[in-house]
Amino acid sequence: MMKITVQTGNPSLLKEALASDTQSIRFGSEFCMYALPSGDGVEKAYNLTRDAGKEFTYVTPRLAEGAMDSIKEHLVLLDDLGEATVVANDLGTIHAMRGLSALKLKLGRQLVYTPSRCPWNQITEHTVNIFTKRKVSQIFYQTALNYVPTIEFYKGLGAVGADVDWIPDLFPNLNFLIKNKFPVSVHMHSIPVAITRKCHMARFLGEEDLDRCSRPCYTKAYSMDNEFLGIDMVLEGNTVYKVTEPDRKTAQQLANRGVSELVLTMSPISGVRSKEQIESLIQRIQV
Amino acid sequence: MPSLTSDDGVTPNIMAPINSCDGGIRVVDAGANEVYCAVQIPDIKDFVLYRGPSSELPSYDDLGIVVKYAHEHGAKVDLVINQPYMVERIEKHIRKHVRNCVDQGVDHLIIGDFGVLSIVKKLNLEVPLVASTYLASMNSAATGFLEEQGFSRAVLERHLTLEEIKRIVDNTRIGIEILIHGGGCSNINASCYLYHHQFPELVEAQRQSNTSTPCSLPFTLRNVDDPQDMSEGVRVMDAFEYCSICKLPELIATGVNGLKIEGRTGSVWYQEATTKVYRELLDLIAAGRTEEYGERLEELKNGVYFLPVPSDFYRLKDLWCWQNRCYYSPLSQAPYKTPLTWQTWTKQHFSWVQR
Repeated sequence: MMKITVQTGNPSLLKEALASDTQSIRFGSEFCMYALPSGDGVEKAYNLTRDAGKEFTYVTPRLAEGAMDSIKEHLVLLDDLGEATVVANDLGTIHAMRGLSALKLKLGRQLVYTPSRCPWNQITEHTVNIFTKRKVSQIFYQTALNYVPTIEFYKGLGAVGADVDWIPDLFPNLNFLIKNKFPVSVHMHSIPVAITRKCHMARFLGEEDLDRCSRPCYTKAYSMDNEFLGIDMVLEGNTVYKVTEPDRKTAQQLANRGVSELVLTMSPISGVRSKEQIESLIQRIQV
Repeated sequence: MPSLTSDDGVTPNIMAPINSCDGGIRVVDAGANEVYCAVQIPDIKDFVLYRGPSSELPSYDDLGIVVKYAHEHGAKVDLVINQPYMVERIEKHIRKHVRNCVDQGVDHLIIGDFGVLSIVKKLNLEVPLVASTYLASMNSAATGFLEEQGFSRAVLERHLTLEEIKRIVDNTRIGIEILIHGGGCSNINASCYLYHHQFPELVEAQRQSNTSTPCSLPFTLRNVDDPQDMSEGVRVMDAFEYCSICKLPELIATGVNGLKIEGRTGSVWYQEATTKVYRELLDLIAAGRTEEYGERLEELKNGVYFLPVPSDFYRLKDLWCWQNRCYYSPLSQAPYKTPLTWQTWTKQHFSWVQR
């Protein structure tokens, strides 16, 4: 059975997630190094999750030097606390996990290059015939893990799986990963299209200092429209997303393919911010 | 001819971008220690990510000409393997491509994916490897990781402060390169999927807003929970041209090995002009002629030399300096307040009128 994991970096939403029917929790910041929890916050989240009888996964973003120092401390702390999975989105995090035997490494979305995250409608620069287009699609709708040496490389580093996006054209190619014993977790609702360090949203809202950011991304998201582009994108924090809507039929197909986990992020984009909303979505999607 | 060799252990290399033989010759003459370029992969021409053929040399013969000229003039050639990911369907094309490029005598291979790395390793090539910005090195743990994988140099991600660069250099044994001038991606390169494709909707959107990249397009922003909270024409992704001429002494002090100019899609004029300016300034600093360096900076800031499109109306400092559009100024890391248009200001302050 495919499990649904709830992801959040917001301690008050964590309480809602813990109270819900979900079997596992992801806590941390996937995209923003300025939104890292404190060591105490990580410990508290870990203990609360284990006390609630759920699995704990710590999610980490790309990191500059100072943030990497914090993550190193968090990893050592988690290793002392007990078993946990760590989603790494930075090669430095993989490096820092060496020798921490209680931690399992999972590749985050930022380490899995996926061209089909591109929001544009066309995949070739100019008009090509149907055969060429088909050939290009066969390359385009794959991920950096659709290559045995790459999978073996990451397995050699101890990776036990990877995160991917809800892109239906990509799903047939997930079979390759599953066949090669590399489990995948599929993120619902939002596909990261562009990520920055200097936060676009904080700048737009006039935040003066990212180290003291008031985290408007916990409560706000902005749709981004350009009349000529004709493409829907959403800005939430330092990331621009393409938005997708998960449905039961596609979830069923993913389960049939052997996908073991769906990830639900509590955010303004998913619109899920309470225990009731989590449970309603699980009811709607669960297969 | 380069007046300084980079092997003095103090002065970093200048690395110039090219997309033509002519460009290769002119940037070497302008003082580049290294040129970097890509070559079109003949068998997968229709599969284009990011910038497309305008950023590449058209053939292996062109690469050969550039390599020959560069080597005769004491410069090196770095080949960008333009592949942020590898799949089985293109494996044989990439293998053939790498082999063809190495046969032309390139000095380094710039690699952005571990699948491509595995191909290069299997080919048993004697060419040193450089980790591309696609590998998004932002800390010394990451560069340490890359060193273990066999890279001899790494290009750091753009959005780092001088202090962070210094810390990485101090804690890393491999060479470190940084980007100093150019198109100024506002997003992390490895995580940006806003490909610069030339498809009709994007071209039209760019034409209408007089921009050349998707990340400088204006958008109407609407709060998803409150449609009244709306702003129009916001260039929210904030892509600008960047420069680092004022920061050169501090950049040298970090101990980086390479200063990389962006612009493989740029004109030959841009590639040559930019290289020439950075060469001149680096030479002045290396010779201890700090006063002349300062004077030359002022001249440059009051001129239009650097601008991608020369202008009769704006000087460099009018367009860039006032906004602190320097790659390594502290402000370029921090968010700044989007200047309000009078319409937005009125809307914000007199919303009761609308109601």
